[in-house]
Amino acid sequence: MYKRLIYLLLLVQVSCIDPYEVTVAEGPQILTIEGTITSAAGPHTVRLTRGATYGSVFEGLIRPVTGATVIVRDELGNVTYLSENLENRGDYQSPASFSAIVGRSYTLQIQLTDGKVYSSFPEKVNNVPPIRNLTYQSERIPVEGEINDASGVSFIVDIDDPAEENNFYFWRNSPATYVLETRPDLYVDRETMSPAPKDCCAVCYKSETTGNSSFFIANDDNFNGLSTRIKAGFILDDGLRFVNTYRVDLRQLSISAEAYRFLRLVKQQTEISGSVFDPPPANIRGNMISLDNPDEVVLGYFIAAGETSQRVYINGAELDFRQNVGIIADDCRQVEGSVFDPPVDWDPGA
Amino acid sequence: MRKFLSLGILAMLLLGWACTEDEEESVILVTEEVLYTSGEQVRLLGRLIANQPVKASDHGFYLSQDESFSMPIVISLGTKEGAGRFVGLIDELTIGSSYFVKAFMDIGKGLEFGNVIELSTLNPGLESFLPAFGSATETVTILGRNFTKDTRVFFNEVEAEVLNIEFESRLSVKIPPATSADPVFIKVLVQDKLLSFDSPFEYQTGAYQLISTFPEQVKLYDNVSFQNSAGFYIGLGNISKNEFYTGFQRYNPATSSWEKIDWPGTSRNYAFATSNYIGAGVAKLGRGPYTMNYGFWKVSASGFQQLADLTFDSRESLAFELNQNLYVVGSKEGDSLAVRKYAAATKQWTTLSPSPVAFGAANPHFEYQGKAYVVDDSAALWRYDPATDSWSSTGLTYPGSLGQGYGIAHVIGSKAYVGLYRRATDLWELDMNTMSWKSKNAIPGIPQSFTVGSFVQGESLYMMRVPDISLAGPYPMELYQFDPNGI
Repeated sequence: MYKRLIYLLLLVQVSCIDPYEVTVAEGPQILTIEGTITSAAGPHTVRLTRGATYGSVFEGLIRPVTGATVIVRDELGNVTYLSENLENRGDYQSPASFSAIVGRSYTLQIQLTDGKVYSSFPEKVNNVPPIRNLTYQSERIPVEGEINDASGVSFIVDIDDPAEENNFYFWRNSPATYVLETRPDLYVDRETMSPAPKDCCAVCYKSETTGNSSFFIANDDNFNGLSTRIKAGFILDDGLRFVNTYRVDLRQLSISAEAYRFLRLVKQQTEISGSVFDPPPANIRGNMISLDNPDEVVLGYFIAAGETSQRVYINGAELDFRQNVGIIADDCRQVEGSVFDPPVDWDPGA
Repeated sequence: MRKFLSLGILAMLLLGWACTEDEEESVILVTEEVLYTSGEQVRLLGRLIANQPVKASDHGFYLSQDESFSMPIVISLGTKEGAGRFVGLIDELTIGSSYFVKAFMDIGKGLEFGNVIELSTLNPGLESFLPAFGSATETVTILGRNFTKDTRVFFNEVEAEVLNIEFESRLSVKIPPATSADPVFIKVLVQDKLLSFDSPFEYQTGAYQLISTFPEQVKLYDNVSFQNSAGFYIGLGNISKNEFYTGFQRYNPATSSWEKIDWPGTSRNYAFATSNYIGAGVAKLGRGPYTMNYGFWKVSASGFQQLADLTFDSRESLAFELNQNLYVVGSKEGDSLAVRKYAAATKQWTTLSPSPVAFGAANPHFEYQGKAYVVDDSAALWRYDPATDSWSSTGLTYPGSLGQGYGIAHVIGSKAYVGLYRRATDLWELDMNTMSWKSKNAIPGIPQSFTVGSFVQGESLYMMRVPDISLAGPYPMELYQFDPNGI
């Protein structure tokens, strides 16, 4: 009898539990500015977005900021207008003829449609030493809980660091192109689920924009004036990229000390793994400021940098380790970004 | 003993507490950065750093041309609650001058100043202007740097209205009226500095003068026009859906007089005509199928002489003369690509190579250095060489409005003038040496007009315009004289 009463009471308790609802104060959608101009040929892009508010993934979207007037102004007063890319709203591009001049300082100025004006601190374009040599090697990355390691290709640059100045380096990848091999002979009709081999095409050239998997930055505190080798990039092997030949231009940027500090802090924050040795989360200030309200938080950084780049063709067969080949059972031209003809400047033998 | 020990420890603790000092109030003012410098503007960033709440009754910047700040320009930003950055904008400075600047604040202890920064305002400069060719009231954009608010722009000595200055680097300027057809140089006065472009600005030219109207109260359509030493002829065609215009009116530009000319042939519309020949067309008014007119006439200053009838259909054919031969190209009846030549010497017709595209009366054409040029329906300009009986593309495209077809084309010297299509008012000049187009001033009058006759006399073009048939009312047919270089 008592047992039944206890069970009944337990049920009553359960039914009385109310979900704990957390009301998160709606934060402002903060303006975020990501822009880089370099001494290389344009066009250079500045991206304007409004960040989503904090909460669940459905709280908001990162929205492009459209219709803004965006200019880059050098220390002599020369103004370059950036026009919005209508196919990719929120991206503002300089004319193709524009490139930053080493030694000059540049300021990014933005006027939004509501009249608010934002400006960057002046960023000086520093000289960049050339990449003396660029090599690559495969790299395995153990993955917790997985039998097979992840892997990819690391880029190593040799540079002769100038002794007379303090240098800050930032490496980025340009859009890459690789030989994509597929199996059209294994194509299966999706409606009938019966084999329907295609005659064409097994080899295409796929272009993609792959960012580095991390921020590759360095300063010359430890090698000022010396020749050094530094890891400057890493591209993950997805089972397709390094089957045949992969081409990428590695861009070496010479950034300001402030930009380096910003990127280092962002790198630290993005690489927090949850251990007790991690740096505490912090609010990273960029170099953009609202002229109407200097205390307004504006995220992002406007980088002006000297740039040099080097092209590398990676022969997959030369890599020590590769992922198992991924099989796409279709005409390679069906893969987004793939074309049958190689780029006009495709020259792996160079 | 224990009591002494306890008292001793207590005393030590008390001593320790007594040694603790309160943290001093610390307020630091920094003139942090020059965010922006132009010819007359400076935008400065200051920063108030404090370890406790602070309120400034005033803050801002001092700016002076001497380091001692003897006569400073004060930019007061008013009260400020708490630490943080502040931005000050200083305007109306002198271009190319050195200044000293420092932040200030008043937190109740008198004015306190930050560090001093030296800066220089920038000098203005010019880069380019666009377009390099235009007409009065249009807008020219001047690109440069460090323009001040009081920037003035001159076209030679004539001042232009500055409509807008954008980011101190882009001037929008209303082109002032031209004082001559000669190219002018644009000068920009920034404060007391005068800048000038090396390349000239060219005014769009072309002056129209209404010199006469058609002597009869009719509106002529589907007619022909030609000229010879006796004057400009306009006639045939129809004046309504049911009535032909049966003769010609001839205008003598020397006497500015009209004369009615009788036409011995049968009435027709959609005929072709050159200075020496009239032929073909439609013999009866109404919709198709058309009754063709095969009459073919020789024209001279003294009158018309009938020739042997045509043996082919021709409606709205294009006709021109080269080397005393008549060429009749295309037709809306029969072979639209046919090219036929009438040799005056032998009085024989021959059929030539077909044209690459269909041409007709709707396509303006002109003759230059023994070759014919025709603008096709897609605006492409074709060249016909009678020596080789071949058509070739010039690679040029007529840049103006094609309206509803039926444009005009004439040559004066080495310039061809093409345009004035139906319901279009633009006229373009083609330099036959450089093969480049330049727009001329638009013809005045009703925009929905079309040209029923066009002629060349001396250095002028003459064109008669009539409002579209859809415009009801007693609109006169107006004869304009056009001076290509007039303003």
